[in-house]
Amino acid sequence: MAITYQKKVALFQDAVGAEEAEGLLEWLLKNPKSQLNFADCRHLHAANLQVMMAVKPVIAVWPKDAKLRTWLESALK
Amino acid sequence: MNPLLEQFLSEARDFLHGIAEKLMQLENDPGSTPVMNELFRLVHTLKGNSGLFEFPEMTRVLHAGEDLLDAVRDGRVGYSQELTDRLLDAMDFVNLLVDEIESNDGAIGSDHAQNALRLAESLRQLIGVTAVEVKAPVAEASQASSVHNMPELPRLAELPEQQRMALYREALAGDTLLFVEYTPEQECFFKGEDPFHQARQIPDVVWQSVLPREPWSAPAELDAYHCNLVFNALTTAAPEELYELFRYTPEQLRIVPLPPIVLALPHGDPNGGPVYGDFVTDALGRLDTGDMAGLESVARTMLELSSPSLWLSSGLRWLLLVLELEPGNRYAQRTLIESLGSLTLPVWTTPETAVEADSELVGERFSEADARAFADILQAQREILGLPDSDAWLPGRLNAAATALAACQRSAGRIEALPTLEAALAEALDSVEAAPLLAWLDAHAPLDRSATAESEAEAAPMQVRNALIDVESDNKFGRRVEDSYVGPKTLKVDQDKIDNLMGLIGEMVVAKNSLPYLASRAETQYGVRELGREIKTQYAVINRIAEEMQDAIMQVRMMPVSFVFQRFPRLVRDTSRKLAKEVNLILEGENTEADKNIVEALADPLIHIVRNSLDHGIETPEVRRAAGKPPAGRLTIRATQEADRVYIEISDDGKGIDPTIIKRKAYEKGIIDESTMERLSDQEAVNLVFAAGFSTAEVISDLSGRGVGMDVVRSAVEKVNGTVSLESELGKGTLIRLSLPLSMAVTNVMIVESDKQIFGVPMDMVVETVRVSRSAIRTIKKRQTTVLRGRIVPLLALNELLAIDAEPYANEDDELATLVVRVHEEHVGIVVDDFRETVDIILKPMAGIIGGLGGYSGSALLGDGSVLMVLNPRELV
Repeated sequence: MAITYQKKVALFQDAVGAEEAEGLLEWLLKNPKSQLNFADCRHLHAANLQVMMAVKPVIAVWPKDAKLRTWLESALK
Repeated sequence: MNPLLEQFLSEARDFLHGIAEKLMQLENDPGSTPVMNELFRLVHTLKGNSGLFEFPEMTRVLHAGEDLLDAVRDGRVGYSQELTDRLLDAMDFVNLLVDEIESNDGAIGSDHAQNALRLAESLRQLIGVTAVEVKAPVAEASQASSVHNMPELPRLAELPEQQRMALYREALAGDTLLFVEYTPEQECFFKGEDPFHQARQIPDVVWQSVLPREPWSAPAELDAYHCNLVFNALTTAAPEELYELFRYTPEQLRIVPLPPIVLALPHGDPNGGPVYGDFVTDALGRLDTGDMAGLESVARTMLELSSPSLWLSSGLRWLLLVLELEPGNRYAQRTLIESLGSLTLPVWTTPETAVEADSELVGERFSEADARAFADILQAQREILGLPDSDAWLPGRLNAAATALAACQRSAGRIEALPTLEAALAEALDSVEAAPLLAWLDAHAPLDRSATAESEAEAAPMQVRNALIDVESDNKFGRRVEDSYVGPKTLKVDQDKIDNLMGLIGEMVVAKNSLPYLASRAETQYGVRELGREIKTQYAVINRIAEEMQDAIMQVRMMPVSFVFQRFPRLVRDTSRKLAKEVNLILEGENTEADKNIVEALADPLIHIVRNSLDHGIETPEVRRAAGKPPAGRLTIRATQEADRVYIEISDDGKGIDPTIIKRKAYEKGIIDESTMERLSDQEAVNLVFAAGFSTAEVISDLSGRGVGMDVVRSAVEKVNGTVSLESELGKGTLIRLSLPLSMAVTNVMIVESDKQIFGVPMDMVVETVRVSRSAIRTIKKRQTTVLRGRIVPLLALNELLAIDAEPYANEDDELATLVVRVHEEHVGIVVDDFRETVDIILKPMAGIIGGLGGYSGSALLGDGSVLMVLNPRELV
């Protein structure tokens, strides 16, 4: 559904919509050493993608969906 | 195809016609503001209409046209010939789409997206620049891009060599390799778009990357909702699939076909470069002499001797693959071998030049077509170099031209010329002018005859651009509207014309009616029986044709009742919302047709009835639940046709009308007296709502049932010869039934005579004709009455009603001719002098001064030329 923010990890679940982007950016700025977990992520809106591209956070778990993973890797690696 | 689309197509053609006409007018009178405004309005409306459907291509072009016209209207852009040309082109395109939609069952193929984009762009180019300046930059831009449209080559080396080799094989086998660059709009997030989702939809992606459009700003200042992304992908999908996918945003998409050879990028450990120098020289030598077998064997030997992880081995593997799959591509082989020597990645040049280089290697072996293409390429370079020197494009243009020339020389085998070309380029770049390159071109590739001829034909840069466009554009496109004129299937005709036609047919019917007179005169007056009979035979024929004509014109005037019905969903929704009620509206039989006048006359009464039903009939959800009904009320409007009448039923499942309350109210209002109140049946009581004084405001608000202007409803319906009836069951609901004639045009009337004048009475009001013996007439309360079939019928003399000072004329048996008519569900006898035949007439309403005359519904012409006044017993009695 959305992003669940834990102490050091942000869990991306299902499809993450555009409205999450602002919150994600804030959280990433506040927790610079945090990690992202895409294990249960199906899709994320481009706004979230560009936030991550700009901030370059650490990806703890890549998505299971191979195609999504390739796209994310091409953007974030 | 749905009716809405049909209407759109028919209107679109009208609009396009209008636009073309206005453009022509504008050409003669460029400064005319009214013409300009009208033109803008047409384009604007057409654009708006097209937006109702899924025709992004059409909307895009029209939108651009609208913007352009807006700019012209505001004086930001001057009028020019060019403007008219481009608008006409655009409109031809729209016309083409309209044709396609019609023939293709309401759809447009996605293959038009590119044309739409190009046209829209060409229109937009005119905005913001003045008309005079337009030509040159356009020509240049397209030329520059035609030579220089190679993308930053993707980092293909990232792909594993195995995969690239497989792709290379596939690409050579026919799968085109496309480089896709998708640059979403910066504001696209606010339009609900998700570019990442869109990018993920690109099929058959073999490589992808996501890049920022501009360098990222500091994270703290980042605007998350300002799209700064560019998506790149390499795909083997068909271009059509991509155009379809990006149908709504084709301007954000760039597709560049890549020659398969760009995949040939050696990688690995570059260890020990110079050692292989001998091999490179040897290989190049073999390539020059055409010793392909030798080249292959030395390459294979070399590969076996080298460690597979070396850069060299990778390059050799590619070389062998290219030798196997593209033995004719000397250019590619040479480049690969050279890159082995230099240990740098081969630089694959633009697709165009690479393709050019594919052609056979030496000049002598050029086929005719190749030679011609070669000459064309050189000619194009010559033209590019011949453009004015003084602009910012120059260095890019020089580089592009030089690259193209170098490729030409290589493929023609004239490698020795390359160093001089490079020198010329360097000189040209230094001095920022094209002259040195031109000089080189003249020296190394003098104009030959065919090229000269060509160059004269295509001298102007503008024409070169046109030629480029013509090649790429679909051959279907570009034809003029006049080339394939398709007659519209529908005609728009002014109603006056139809009315006029109907009037003429009416006269024809009347004229035809004079034939029987003529026949009887021939028989009786002139005694020629045979002739009389023949006239009657001819009459039968003319009668049949006249009736068919009448039917046909009636059909033209017919229109579906949906014309009136379509406003109800909204009306019901709004009203029920306001009243806090839940109502399901059910419409049935919308396709039932009736004469236009009838349908239009229906509108107001129906709205009245529906409002009443909602206001007074259907209860609030709570009340309904308490009464054991579903909370949402049901309102049904049903139209049906039976014989020559249309029935409209409006029924609800509301609380119905309480006859006792109606009776009491009617009594209070003085509409009925006490004894009547006792006597009235429930059904009769319910019908009191139609009584004239029953519709004042206080009464309605107190009433449980209806009553709002029901007398208005009745008179409106009666005006078109219709009737209203109402049935209601307390607690169950109410049904109102309107019965209307299909058409008003032909009226069947009975002719009666009184004081030697004739009058018509509509047949549908006539109950019977009787002769009443004077002795059977009784006078009750100063009024004459008689008893007919067990019912008391009041008698009124027509002479008296029309204020004719004469007594009714009785026959020999002292009987009076009495016409019994039905007026408001009651029978009334009208005493006349004599009855005549019934005739079909075209009733003409009375106009002008006599229009205000009561008692008559109109006049008609008779077969013998006399005028018949048609009475309206409802007003008369």
